[in-house]
Amino acid sequence: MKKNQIQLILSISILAILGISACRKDDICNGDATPDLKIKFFAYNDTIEKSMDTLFVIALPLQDTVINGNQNITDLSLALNVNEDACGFVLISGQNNDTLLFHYSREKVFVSKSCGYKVNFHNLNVDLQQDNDNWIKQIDLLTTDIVTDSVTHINIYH
Amino acid sequence: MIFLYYQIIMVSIPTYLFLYTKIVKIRFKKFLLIITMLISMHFSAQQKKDSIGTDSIARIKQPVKIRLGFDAGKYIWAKFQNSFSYDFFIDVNFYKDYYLIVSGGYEKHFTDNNLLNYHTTGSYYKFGVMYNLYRNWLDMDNDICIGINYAYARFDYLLHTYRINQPGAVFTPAPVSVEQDFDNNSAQWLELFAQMQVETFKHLYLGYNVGVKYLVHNSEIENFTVTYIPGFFYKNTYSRFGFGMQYFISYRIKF
Repeated sequence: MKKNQIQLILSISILAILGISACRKDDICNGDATPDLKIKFFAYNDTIEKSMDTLFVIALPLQDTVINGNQNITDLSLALNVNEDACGFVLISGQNNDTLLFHYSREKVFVSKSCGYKVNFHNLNVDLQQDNDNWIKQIDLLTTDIVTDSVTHINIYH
Repeated sequence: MIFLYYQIIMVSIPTYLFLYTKIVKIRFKKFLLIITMLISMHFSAQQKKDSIGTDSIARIKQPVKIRLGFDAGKYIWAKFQNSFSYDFFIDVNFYKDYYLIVSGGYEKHFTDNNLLNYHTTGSYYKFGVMYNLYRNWLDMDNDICIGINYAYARFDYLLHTYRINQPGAVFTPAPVSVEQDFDNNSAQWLELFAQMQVETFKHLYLGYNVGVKYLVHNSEIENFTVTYIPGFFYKNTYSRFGFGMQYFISYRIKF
């Protein structure tokens, strides 16, 4: 009957729409989060990359191990402190400790419902604490803004 | 997971009641046969009605049927979620198998995930029509309807605390307390739904409804986004579609 057919079509189309609407992209964060500080290691008085044989990084003042690397390490990613405008890390090469202090200003940015808020860093400042024997010879600040993970922000010569 | 069990229980109660009324009338014991009977009956009952034609029975004026309903499932579930909500509707049978449905609700919903902690407060109104697909036997008054609603919501957000999203953080981001208001947001959507109501006690109905919602418009917010909409549920970042279920109790007013 005509009415039966209409009802059948309507019911099937409703079920189809229900089914299709279920195929939605998962609402999880697409990875847009607070960027890390990117460091690359170079040879002093040279422009070629020089990797670290071993590198051990500790965050101050927590004494938490950030990196405990044993292979050739060419880059380092440091997650800066988003709770304060400064943080410090101790980079240990072999037996030699070198302390780096970072100062910056934080900018809070809303990303999305699933990613929440992230922080962009501006006016970055690096201080190397001088002691008798620094294995870090020179630090180059390539940019004072940390907005993305995909570029290197600091070059360290050793 | 608990929500899934809750939904299964709530859906099975009216479904069971609906089927039970069938079992009493028919004397078949096999459950599968009853299901096939239901399906074939749905189509064959149509034919019977058409063959009555211009009978005197068909000429009796149908009294206008008005029902008042309350969304019990939402109200109870909100209690478990540290939220508050209520939803009422009025159902008017204005012509043969067509119903006009007007509903409204209020919600104060609490969201607390790892990143955002906020309250959504707002109200919504829906207007729609629905059509009854089911042909009742004798004096039973159940219905299976499909319908379209147009809904409008107004809501505010109160952001209590947030945590910065920093994967691999050594200095764990601490929750920052900011009582920030995002006021006067609005959203409009279309709903396509299917509903089933069963008359349990005299003039008291139990039912549930499933629907697909399409967000037609939502207001933009500076430094924030529309996340939860009262009546629509959470808005997916990548999609304008939503899905909803309601479990309600309604009462028919007699004139």
